[in-house]
Amino acid sequence: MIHLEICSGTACYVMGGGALLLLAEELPADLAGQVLVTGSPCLELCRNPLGDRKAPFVKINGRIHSSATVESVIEALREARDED
Amino acid sequence: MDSRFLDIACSQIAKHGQRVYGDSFLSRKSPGGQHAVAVLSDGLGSGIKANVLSTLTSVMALKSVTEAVSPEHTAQLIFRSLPVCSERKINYATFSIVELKGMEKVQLVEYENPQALIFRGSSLFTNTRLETIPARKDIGRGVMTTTCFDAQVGDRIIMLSDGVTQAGLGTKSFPLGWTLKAVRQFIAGMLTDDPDISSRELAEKVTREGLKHDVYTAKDDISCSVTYIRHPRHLILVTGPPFHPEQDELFAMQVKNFDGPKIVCGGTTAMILSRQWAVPLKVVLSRRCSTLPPESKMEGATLVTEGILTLARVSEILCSKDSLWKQESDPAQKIVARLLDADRITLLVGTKINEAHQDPNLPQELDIRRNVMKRIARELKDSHLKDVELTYM
Repeated sequence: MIHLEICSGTACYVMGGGALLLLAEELPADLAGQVLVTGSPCLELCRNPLGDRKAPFVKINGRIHSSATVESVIEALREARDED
Repeated sequence: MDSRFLDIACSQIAKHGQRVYGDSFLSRKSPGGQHAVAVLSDGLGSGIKANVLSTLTSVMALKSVTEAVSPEHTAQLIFRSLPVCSERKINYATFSIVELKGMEKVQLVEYENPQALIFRGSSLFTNTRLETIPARKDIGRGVMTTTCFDAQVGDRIIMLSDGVTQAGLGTKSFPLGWTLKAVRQFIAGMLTDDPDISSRELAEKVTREGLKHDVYTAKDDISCSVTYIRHPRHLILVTGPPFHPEQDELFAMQVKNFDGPKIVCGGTTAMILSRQWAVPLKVVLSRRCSTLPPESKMEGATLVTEGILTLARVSEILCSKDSLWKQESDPAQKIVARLLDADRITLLVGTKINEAHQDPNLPQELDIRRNVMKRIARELKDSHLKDVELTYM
C-alpha cells in the first residue's frame, strides 16, 4: 500500500493544494485500492527552506514532493507503485 | 449572586406585500448587562407608516428607560406625546417595555399589546405584582399594565405583537386567531421539549408557527421577542502558536482547562495541541468543501479548522447579515454557528508570525491574523452583543 499524505495547510491550499484533496476520492482506476490517502493539517515544510521547492507539498511513502499538481502526484504514485 | 446572562432576541415577519415591519423591536444592555431594556412596539396599520410610528415609540421608550426614567413614567411621556388617530380614536402605536435591573428586578409595562408571557422553566409564571391603571384619559380608553417580579435563572419574558395572537384569524382552523392561550401552550411545549432553547430559536419558532396559521401569507406584522435570563455559555477560539515556543505547554493547558466548547483554527496550532495533549489529529477528507481547506478531528476540541482563510471567511459572514443563518456545512459556517450560540467568547490569539505566509507569491487575502481577529471581535461585540475577551499570547 502506498501512503499519500496531502498537506491541507494554508500555504499549500492557496497554492493549488485544494485540488489535490480530491485525490482522496478520485484516483485513476489503475491506482485505486493501492493508495492510502490521508490529510495533514500542515506538513510544516512551507516554513523550512527546502531550496527552491515550493508549496503545495505532499509526501508519498514519506518522500517529499513539492509544487504538486494532480498530474504530478498521480505520476509519482505510479512510480512508487512500480518501484515496489 | 450566581452568574447570569441575558439572551435577548426578536423574530419578525412583515405583513404580506410589505417590505418593512410595522412592528419595531429595540433592546439595549449596559456593559456587563446590569441594566437592560427591551421594547416591542406595534404601529397602527402596516408598512412604512406603521414602521415610522412604532420606531418613534420604541426609540423614545428605549432612550428614556436607558436614561433611568422608570418604564411607567416613560409610558406616560409617550402617551402625552403620541398622536391619536382622529377617526378611530386609538393610539398610533401600542407598546411593551421590559426593564431589568441587576439581572433580577423586572418591570414590565404594557399598553394594548397582547399580554407578555412570563415563563419560569417550562411553566407560566404568574406570581407577579400586577397593577392595571387607565391610560390616556384624554381618549377614555386603554389600560396600562405594570408587572413587577424578581427574576431567576431560567426565566423568560416573551413579548408578542397581535399579529401572533391573531394569526389565522377567520380561517376554518382558527376562527378567532391563534389566541394568547394557544400561543402559551405552544411555547410551553417548546420549552418542555428543549428547556435550553435560545431566545433567537424560540422567537423564530413562534413567528414561523404564526405565519403557518396565516397560511404563509401574513395578515399582519408578526413579531415575537424573548428575554431569557440564563447562565452564560462560554466558548474559546484559539488561533496561532504562542510567540515563544516555551509557552506551548501553558497554552495547551489553558485551552484544555477551559470549561466550554473549544474551537481551534490553524494547522500548526492544532498540531501543538495534539502534541501537548498527546491525542491524534486527523484531517477529514471525506466531505469536500470547495472553498475552504477541510476540517480535522481531535479529541478534546469541538472543531478544528484551517487558520487564516477560514477565519477571514468567518469575519466576512459575521459582517454580512444576509448569509448569517445558512445551514451550510463549510467549516466557517460551523464556527459562526458556534460563536453565535455562545455568550462569553474568549479569543486566544498566538502572535507567532507564519514565515510561510510572507511569501509575496501568496494571495493578498492572507491578512495578518491579528487584524482578522480584531475584526471578528469587534463584529461579535457590536453587532451580536457578545461579551468578547481578546487575548494575545
